Amino acid sequence: MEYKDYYQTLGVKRDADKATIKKAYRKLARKYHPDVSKVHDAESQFKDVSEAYNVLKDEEKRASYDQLGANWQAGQDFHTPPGWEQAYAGAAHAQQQTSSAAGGFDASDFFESLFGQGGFQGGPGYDAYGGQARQSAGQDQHATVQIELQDAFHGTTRQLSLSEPARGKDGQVINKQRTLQVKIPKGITQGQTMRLKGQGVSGLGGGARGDLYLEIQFKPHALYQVEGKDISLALPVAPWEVALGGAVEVPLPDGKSVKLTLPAGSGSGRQFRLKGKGIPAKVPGNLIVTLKIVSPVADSDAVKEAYQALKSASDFDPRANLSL
Amino acid sequence: MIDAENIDTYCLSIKQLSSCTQIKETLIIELVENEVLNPQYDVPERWLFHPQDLSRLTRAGRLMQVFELSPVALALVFDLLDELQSLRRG
Repeated sequence: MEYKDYYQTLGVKRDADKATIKKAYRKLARKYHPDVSKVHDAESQFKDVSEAYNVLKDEEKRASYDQLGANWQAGQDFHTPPGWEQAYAGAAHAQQQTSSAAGGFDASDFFESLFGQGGFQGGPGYDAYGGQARQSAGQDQHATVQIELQDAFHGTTRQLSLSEPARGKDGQVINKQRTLQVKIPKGITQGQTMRLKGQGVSGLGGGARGDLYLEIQFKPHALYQVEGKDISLALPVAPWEVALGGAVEVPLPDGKSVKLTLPAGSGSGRQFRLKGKGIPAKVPGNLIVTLKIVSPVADSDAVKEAYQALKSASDFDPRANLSL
Repeated sequence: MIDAENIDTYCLSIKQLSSCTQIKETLIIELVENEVLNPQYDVPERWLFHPQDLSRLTRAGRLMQVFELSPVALALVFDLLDELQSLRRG
């Protein structure tokens, strides 16, 4: 597995004090927390930051980590030194139990090899969780699944990987992976929730499973924006199409296209609502097309002349109404 | 293959929300008082939440834990995030 340089992750020196480490964590949490960050890959960045903080803020864990020595490089091939399990055995079992539902994060292989399985909670703060997860039957579980916009038009199946607490061989609490194949019907909309009865977490005592709630989210699309059932598209059009009117082909997310007739004199930014061409829910959404005028580049004499002619013929001042 | 059922109505109880997210019912009640979540009906025992409140609650839990927010501050954070999201879309 890869060595992880926790000091480098937090951007602190190896002799940094607790206050410095806490400050560094808070700054990075604001930057990468997936609920507030728009940074690409925020979730995995935040996982790294959380894990680093979890180790460095704890004196015992930090001391053990420092024992590995300062000569390892991030990413280097790593295995625990001999005798490690015996030296750290006590603390490994004291891990807080976590499940993805509670907002805890899965630990990396590197962390688990040093500190045992069971993961860790996402950070300090407001006591929302009241300690151990209830060991009763029928716990419900919640997960999000991301699908492509095209999938809303045809339906799709998804393989889900869920993690839940379970008892390991030696009675220790570990995170068990479970995979499910779920059929997602067409016509699903952004943020919609689906219930899978009996697919939640089973109680540690072996009780019946609760339900699994799946929230559907669309992956960002290069062309289209989704809001509920409606889909928006900025459609590039030529100046003459907008001035003279005419038919234009509008591409749809399912690969088909629809013809839109532009009336003469449409302006840039003009919107057209194509009823029923949005997500094919029971009551289908709409496709909202916003015109975006793009002009050909004046890269040939003929085009340059055409522009000059248009300039002379139209006597047009786009800034006439700007008062300065 | 598993059949999933689409839910789009107010149908989740406070117990279900608490069970899914491992967040105490007392805290969920505080969040409703601060209008972070908006169930139907008047008393906690009869509250029915919309499925969207389930993911909202999960996010709330994560934010509260990592950023040490009180329910009051969290309500402000959600207002700002909602506004930010609609500005980005437009």
